[in-house]
Formats: sequence, structure tokens, C-alpha cells
Amino acid sequence: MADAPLLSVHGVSKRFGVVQALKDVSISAEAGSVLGLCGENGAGKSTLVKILMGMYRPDSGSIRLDGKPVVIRSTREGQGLGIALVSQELSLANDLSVEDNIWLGSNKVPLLHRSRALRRRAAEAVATLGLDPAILDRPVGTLSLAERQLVEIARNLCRDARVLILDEPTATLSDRDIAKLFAAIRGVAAQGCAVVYITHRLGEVFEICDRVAVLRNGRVAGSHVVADIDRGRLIEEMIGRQFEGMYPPAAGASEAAGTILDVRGLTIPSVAHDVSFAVAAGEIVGIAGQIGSGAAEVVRALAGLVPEAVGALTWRGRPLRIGTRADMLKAGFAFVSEDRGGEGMFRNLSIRNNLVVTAPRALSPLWLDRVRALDEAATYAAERVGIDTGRLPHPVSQLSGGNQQKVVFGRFLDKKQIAGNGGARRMPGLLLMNEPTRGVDVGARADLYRLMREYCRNGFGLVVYSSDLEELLGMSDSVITMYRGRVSGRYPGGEEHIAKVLADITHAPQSAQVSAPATRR
Amino acid sequence: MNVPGLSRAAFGRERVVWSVKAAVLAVIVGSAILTPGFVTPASAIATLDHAALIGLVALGMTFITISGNQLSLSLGATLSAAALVFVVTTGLGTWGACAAAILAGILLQAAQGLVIGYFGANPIIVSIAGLGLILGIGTHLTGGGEVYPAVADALKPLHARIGPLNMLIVVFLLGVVVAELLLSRTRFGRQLIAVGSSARAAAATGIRTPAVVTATYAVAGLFCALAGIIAAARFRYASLETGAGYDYDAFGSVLIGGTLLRGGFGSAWRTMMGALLLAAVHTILVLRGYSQEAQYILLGVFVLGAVCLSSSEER
Repeated sequence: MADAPLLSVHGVSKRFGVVQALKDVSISAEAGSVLGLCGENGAGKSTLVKILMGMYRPDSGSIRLDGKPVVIRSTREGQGLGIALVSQELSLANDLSVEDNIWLGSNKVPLLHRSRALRRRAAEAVATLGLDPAILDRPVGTLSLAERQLVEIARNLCRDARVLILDEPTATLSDRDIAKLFAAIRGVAAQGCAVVYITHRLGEVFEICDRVAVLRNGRVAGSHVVADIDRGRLIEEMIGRQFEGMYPPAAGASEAAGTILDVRGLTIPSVAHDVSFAVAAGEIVGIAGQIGSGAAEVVRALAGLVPEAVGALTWRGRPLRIGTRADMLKAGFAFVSEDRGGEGMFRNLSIRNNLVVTAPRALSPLWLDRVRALDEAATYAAERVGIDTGRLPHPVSQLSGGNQQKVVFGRFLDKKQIAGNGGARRMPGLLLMNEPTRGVDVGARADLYRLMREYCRNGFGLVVYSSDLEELLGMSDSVITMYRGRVSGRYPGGEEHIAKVLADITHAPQSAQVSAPATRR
Repeated sequence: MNVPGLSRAAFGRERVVWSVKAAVLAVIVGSAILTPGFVTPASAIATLDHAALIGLVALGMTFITISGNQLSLSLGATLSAAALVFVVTTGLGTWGACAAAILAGILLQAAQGLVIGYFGANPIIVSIAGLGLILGIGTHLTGGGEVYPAVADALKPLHARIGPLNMLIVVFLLGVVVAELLLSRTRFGRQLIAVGSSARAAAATGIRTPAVVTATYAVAGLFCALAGIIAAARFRYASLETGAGYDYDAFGSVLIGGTLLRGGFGSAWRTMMGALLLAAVHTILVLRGYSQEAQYILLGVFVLGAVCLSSSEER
């Protein structure tokens, strides 16, 4: 690297009303290297990205490319300068082929005919990313999520992107796909691009990044060569306080408790086969598996969201037929979706109404609601999960991802304490969670883990699926692993088993576990 | 960073929305004061009366719009059908005929809600199909003409007045209160708003979405039937034309009131204000001697404006 870094940001500040989103932020990304960008929700990562993409103009400070100051007034100008963003929401047309998607909207494409040069260029781009060029003719709709992401990256490569910004690209990927993505990122960097890699998963910083910059409250809290820093230090910089144990200890007393849920031979045609496990009172059971292993679908099936699921359930000593979502809720099965924005919460409703949307009959009889009791229930739930009760009337969409998840969680809290006002309530006795901390920052994660433990204290059970293995093992009292729709292993919780679990879900021989994914974390 | 409503663009948009609203209100209030004869008790009652019939249908439409199903084009036809059932069944006595008409209105709309809720069919297309079926079958049964009540005395109780207020206005005002309570204070209302906010999230939460949608249309049918009964009592006959054209005015009232087209937000109170505003404009135009086409044009402008303003709020 000769002189100036490819991309450098100098003293950028940005204020929205009373909120100082960025304050004097300076970072730089070298050609051929990967810069990690970490920070909690609200730390300013998204604002910085939007400034780089020309969606916002900074109040002060400058952006330089190759040492030359540039002004980016629009997304189009940013793209013209070679700055590209691959966000979690992909902008691909599912019915068109990969090649068509790559060139869609590009000004290089002649109106009618397909040039061979374009085809070759696209083939080179996908090859750089480790994909078979034959993929160019497949409709994007037939590709996996990971492959679609790579197509989006290929599209940007074909538009001469020099700075590639990846915003939490692994949030929805399986471990194997993550390894592929990382290989692709290295390929992109080797071509002389600067990659800015935004992630919540600290393990990934150590795996893929050369340097890391940490944002906190809109300021740069630290900037390091990755080789010189350890995980604990990184977390401290992100949350600005000493990092204590992330996962609360298991209840312990639950050992003697009996089984509350027994699942026998749960089968979802062509997704999961003959899955059996049991949940004891007070126990957290984790289901580990890659995307496509059926793990997440098993959790959805128990929630009553997979109509074709069959299996024998014994719930608190009685047989239970897998019915509709409403039936399962009535039986006491609460569900937290992996898709918070689409399925988990009601974006336009207030925090209060999100909390009481499934209020029990005692508070909400057939005729008029007991409004006071509902308010108390919402206040109680907000206090328990740590949401400012003054914000109850505000739309839930104003909260950060972590707080939104707390609201979703708050719906299922034990409301026994308000039973005096509303009569006895039959609480959901089983909480089903998919990806409980997706898009949730480190500080809020610890809170959610604590809440999950507290939930189980009342003799309730919890079944959780997460693609974050460390989290899954850290939280669970026992773990079952799934591979291609079948149970492939059973383990006690605790991070010491991570290598075995990883081998199980990727079906890798134990000896091969030192390959890329195993070094993650 | 996620600071909704704080970006400069959003500030600007909000300012535009508010200034347009203020300007429209200023023009209407101004012309109301300047129009001779508007600020009188007689014209106030006339305005309320005009708002009430549209308003009853609009209350029904409000439920449909909040539930995320946008609008129905068969509410006017349902009003006509209920009016016909009422005059035909006057032999049962006033209240028997009312019950029959209400039952008819509820069934006609609930059937459409059933198809929309359980089959996920496009609500507007289903309502167009419903309109066709009601008009077709109705024409076959009535021959397309006017139908007069068998027992004219049965209409009498519906011509009663409470002070200066006629039955139509009383029913409308009571309807607003009931609809507002249903929406804001009941399990049904809460679930309805949740379904309108996100049908997927509602289903994942355990709300029986199809049942809620069916009930929503049943409530819409109830309000149409009330309008139909009162219209039949007032005109002393019913035909398939009785409710013609009400869908459009009702939908205009809902949107002008500020209930959002995308669902999940709105109120009966807003719809009442929307209906009153349209009625006030109507009265002003009549007093100033403008013809029907001026009203159509203004209504078109209002609906367009309301949609543009509210969709910029929705962003």
C-alpha cells in the first residue's frame, strides 16, 4: 500500500435533532484489507454507512478516496465513486437469472443483445467469489440465501466497486455458508478492494478482519490491528463497561424436576424426520443445526406454524395434537419468531399495545376491556424486561433492535402479580424461540439471556434455535443437533462441547473440525 | 442509528402535511362563515343529516380499512339489499323487520369476509364479485324496480325525533360511539388493529386472523344494514338504487378522516370528522348554488389529497 489509504473518513460528525449520531469519527480502510466495524445498536454504524453511501450528508468532516476529498450527494454518486453496500435486505429480482441480475440497471449494458464480454466479466466475478459460473443462468429465486448474497457482491464487483461495505452479512447464514462467504471476501480483498465488514458477532472479527474499529455512542472507542487485541477487550470497548459473564448460570434446582414436554417422532415432510426430545421443568433445550437442517422448522412446528407437521406430543402429562398457532397458544406455547420485523412485532402499534396484544380473557373479556388492568399488565411487563415505562405509548418501531426483542419477550412474561386485578391467568408454560438475539447488541443480549433464565424459573420450559452456536451452547441446559432433518447428537450445555456440536451439524468428521468455521468465536 | 421521524426530510414532509391540512380547514371554515345561511341551526342539522347516512356506511368501511383490507365496493349494494329486506318484511313489525334487515346485512358482508379471511382472496375483487351477485340476484327477485313496504305503519317508529335530531342522526351518533368502543376497548378491536398492522405477525402471535377478518366484515354489514333501514324508512320504499354511490363517499370520509389505507391505524371518531367535513362542503356548495359536478370534483380532489398526504405519513 503506497501512501494514502483507499478510503478514509476524517472527523465526521452528524446530528439528528437532539441526537448526536456521530462525533468526530475517523476511520480508514486500506486496499486489499478487511476493516471490521463493531458497535452496539445505536452506536452510529448505520449512520456512518449511510453517509458513505450518500444517503446523509455529514455536518462536518470529510471523506477521502485515495487521499482526495470527495463529496457524496446521492447513492448514485457513491456508486459512481466505487463505494458499494451489500445490506441484509438484498435487492435482487428473483425471477431473473443471476447474469441478468448482475447487469440489471447497469449503464454498461446495451439495450438488446447480450455481449460476450459482459458474460465473461460476470463469470469472472462469480468465480472470484468461489461460485460455479454455470450459476449465471439460474434464476436467483432458486439460490440459497448465501448464494444470493454472493450474487449481490458479484454485481457490485462488475460495477467496479472498490470499497465494499458488508452490513451483517452472516446474520442469516449457516456456518458452512459463512466459510464460503469469508473465502469470497478474501478473494475480493485480494483483488485490491477495501472491505468494510460490519458485524455483531465478535468471533467473526478475529476470523476475517485485518483491522477493527469500534464505535460507541457515535465516537470511535478504539481502532486496532486485530492481531493485537482480544475478545474481552473488544467487548469492553463496545459496551464501555467491564464485561461480566454473558450467560447466567443454569437454575440447578431443576435437575429433579419432571418432564413437561415430550416430543416423539416429530416429522415435517421433506424437512425433518422422526425428531424426539424432552423438555424438563425449568430447562432450556437448544436445537443446533445449519439453515436447511430443519432445526428452526421444528421450533415453528411446535408453535403450530407448520400445518403439515405430525408427531406425538405429551404436554404436562397429557397427549397434545399439533394444531394451529392459536391452538398451541391456548395450550401454553409462546413463540418468538426469527423474523422480528415481519412476524414478531406490530411495527405501527405502540409498545403498550404490542405488550398486551395477546392479553388474557381476564383482562379482556368479550365485551369491554379492563383498560386499567391492561395498562398495569403492560407497565409490569415493561418494567420486568427493562423498557422505560414512559415510552409505552410510543410506536415500537422507535426502539432499537434489542429493545424491540425485549418487548416481544415481554408479552409472555408471568403476569401472576397482576392476577389480583385480573383473575388467575394460565401462563404460557413453554417458550419457543428462533434466533432470540438476531440484530440485538451485546448489552441487550445479556439482558435477554437473563430474562430467558428467569422465565424458566417458574417451572416453565424453553426450546431455542439459534445459528449462533456459542449463544446456543451458552444458554442451553441440553442441546440436540440436527443435520439434514434428523437428530444427529445430544449434548449437555456449555461451550466446551462446541467443537463436537459443530462437527455434528456440519457432519464433518471430528478430525476435520480445525477447518475455518471451528476457529470462529 | 435508527432515529425515526428525525431526519430532515421527514421534518419537511411533516411540515408540508400539516400546512396542507391547516390550509384546507381554513378554506372550509372561511367559506362556511362567509356563506350566508351556513351558520344556522337549520343548516347544521342539514349538514349532520347529510353526513349521517354516508357516515354509517363509512363506519363500516372504517373497520375494513383498519383491518388492512383497504375498501369494499359492495357496501352500497348491501345497504340496498338490507333496505329491500326491511320493506319486504315489514309484516313482522318494525323491530322484526329491522332484525331481518340487520341479519341480511351481516350475512352478506360476513360471507365476503369469510372468503377474504380463509382463502386470502383479494378484498377488492371479492367485494366487486359481491356487488355483482347482490345486484344480479336482487334484480332477479325485485325485477329491478322500487319495492314498497307491505305494512306502511311499520315505518312509523323510525320517524320519531329526539328534540331537533331525527332517527338517522341519533343512530349515526350512537354508531360512532359503539364503533369507537369496539375498536379501542375490546379484544376484537385490538385483534383487528393487530391484523391490520401485520397479518403475518398476528397469525404468528396466535390470533385467529381469518375469524377476525370475517367478524370485521360482519360489523361492516351491520352498519350498512342500519343505514339501509333508515334510508328505506325515510324514502318509504327501497330499491337496488337506494345505496348506489355510497361506497365512494364512505371511503372518502374514511380517508379524509385520516385512517390509514395500509391498515392498523384509524378510528370511528376520525371517520365521523371526515364525513362531517364532506357534508359541510356539500352544504356550502348547495348554499352557494354549485351543481352536483362541483361536488364530485371536490370529493375527487379531497380523496386524492388525503391519499397523498397519508401515504407520505406512512413512509
